[in-house]
Amino acid sequence: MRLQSDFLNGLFVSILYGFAVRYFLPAMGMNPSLQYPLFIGGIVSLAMRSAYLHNMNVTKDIDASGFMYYQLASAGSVGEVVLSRLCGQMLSLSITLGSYMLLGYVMMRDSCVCLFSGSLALVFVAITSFLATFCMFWSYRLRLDRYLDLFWPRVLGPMIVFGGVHFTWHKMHLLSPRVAKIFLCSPLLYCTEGLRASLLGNAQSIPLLITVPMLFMLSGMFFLAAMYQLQKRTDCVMR
Amino acid sequence: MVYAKLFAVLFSREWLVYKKRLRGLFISFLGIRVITFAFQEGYVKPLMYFGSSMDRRALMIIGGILIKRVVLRTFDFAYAYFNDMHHQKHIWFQKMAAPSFLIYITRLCFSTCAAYGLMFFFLPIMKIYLWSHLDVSHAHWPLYAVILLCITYMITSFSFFCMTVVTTQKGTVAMRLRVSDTLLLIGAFHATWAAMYSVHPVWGYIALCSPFTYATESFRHALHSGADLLPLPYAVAGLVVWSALFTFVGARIFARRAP
Repeated sequence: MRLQSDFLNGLFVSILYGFAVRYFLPAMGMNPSLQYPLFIGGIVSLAMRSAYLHNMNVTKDIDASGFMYYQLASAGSVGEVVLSRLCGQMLSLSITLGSYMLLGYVMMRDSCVCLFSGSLALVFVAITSFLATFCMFWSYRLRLDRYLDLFWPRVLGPMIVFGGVHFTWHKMHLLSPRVAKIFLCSPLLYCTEGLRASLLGNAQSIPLLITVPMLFMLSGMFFLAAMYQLQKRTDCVMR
Repeated sequence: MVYAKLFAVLFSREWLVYKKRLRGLFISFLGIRVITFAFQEGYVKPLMYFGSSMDRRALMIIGGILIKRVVLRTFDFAYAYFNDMHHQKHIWFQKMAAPSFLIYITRLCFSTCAAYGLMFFFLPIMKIYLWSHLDVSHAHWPLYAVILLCITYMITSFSFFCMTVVTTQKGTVAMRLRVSDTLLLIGAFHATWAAMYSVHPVWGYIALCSPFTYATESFRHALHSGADLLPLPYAVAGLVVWSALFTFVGARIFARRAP
């Protein structure tokens, strides 16, 4: 039921976002060559938003309904709970991101996009695991009111700005090489550039050899951090 | 008189609840978010999309994206209201002491004031940061103040209406992604209404069905008026009608809700 719901959530937004990038923004005078990179950046940002919204309920659950405590009591360790939640979220994000990509492919057929390749599958797993672990970590760390008030403006907002969502890193590098180096600090940049490299296959994106290992490394770090935070938040002795 | 006193009491309760949170929100929004927003929307994006950061089209896009900021902010306030209804349940105690309509209106007014306070300074601070790279010389500031208040009220009433309608957590996510985002994307958010109409007239008519079209277009009038925008009287009339509709229907549904 959840997967079906996630698919429907992705469906409406991606169709309209595709229309906006394909037709409305060029009608405003935007450079048409930016259409595909912009769409790819946009769907990564939408997937991030989906992960943010789902984890909003997780942080609420810990304080309100307390389903997490039942899971912790029945599971062997915190690691098992975090891992099971991670798998669930990755599956959910795959459906969302997959639906965005599929619809984008249908709407922008004239681009040289290869949807079924090994590199894309690898990037796909790396992106979903990173987004899931990152948002999970913050949902375990912050209580609902702080999650609502601080997470987006202080963490996700700057990360999206420096994440190359609305423009490519290459263009930023042409504009200002110094500022482009700051962009490398945003983990989201590796998601957008990785997806651009695997879908469009152009030399202007950051190579997959950098983006994919970076995303897996970050996922591992956030997974461990999420385990620690969950333990800390639910264990009244550690708290 | 009794209603005014009750309103004041309920409003001050909201203030006491949010007082601490608002300080953090102001720091986040006006201290941190505005810098990154100004850099991206006011400088880099216009330069890459249109070749100049001083382009009027860039200001039109900024107008749309600022409205999205209002939507995100008000939905977070509305989510707190949803959380109160279904988990904290303070609101049901209030319902025993005050009329439902008054409670609903108080929450709506408080959230509107808080979101307005946050958003009002967003553009002036952006101007301070970007200075010569952001052209707001055509902005009509008194109109900006009034229109932004109307827009914030309309969007707050919409988000409260949405959170009153849904009853589950999953419903809140679906409401935001399927309804709010859809209406926002067809609501002349990325491009002006005229640009949407120029793509195909059907898009122009579809956009007129979205309440956000009236918000984005009237806000753009305050920033830099032009013939390519929906006429201001129509846009304001749309705002008023949608605001009244969302407030009335939302309050009716809330009155029927029971713990």
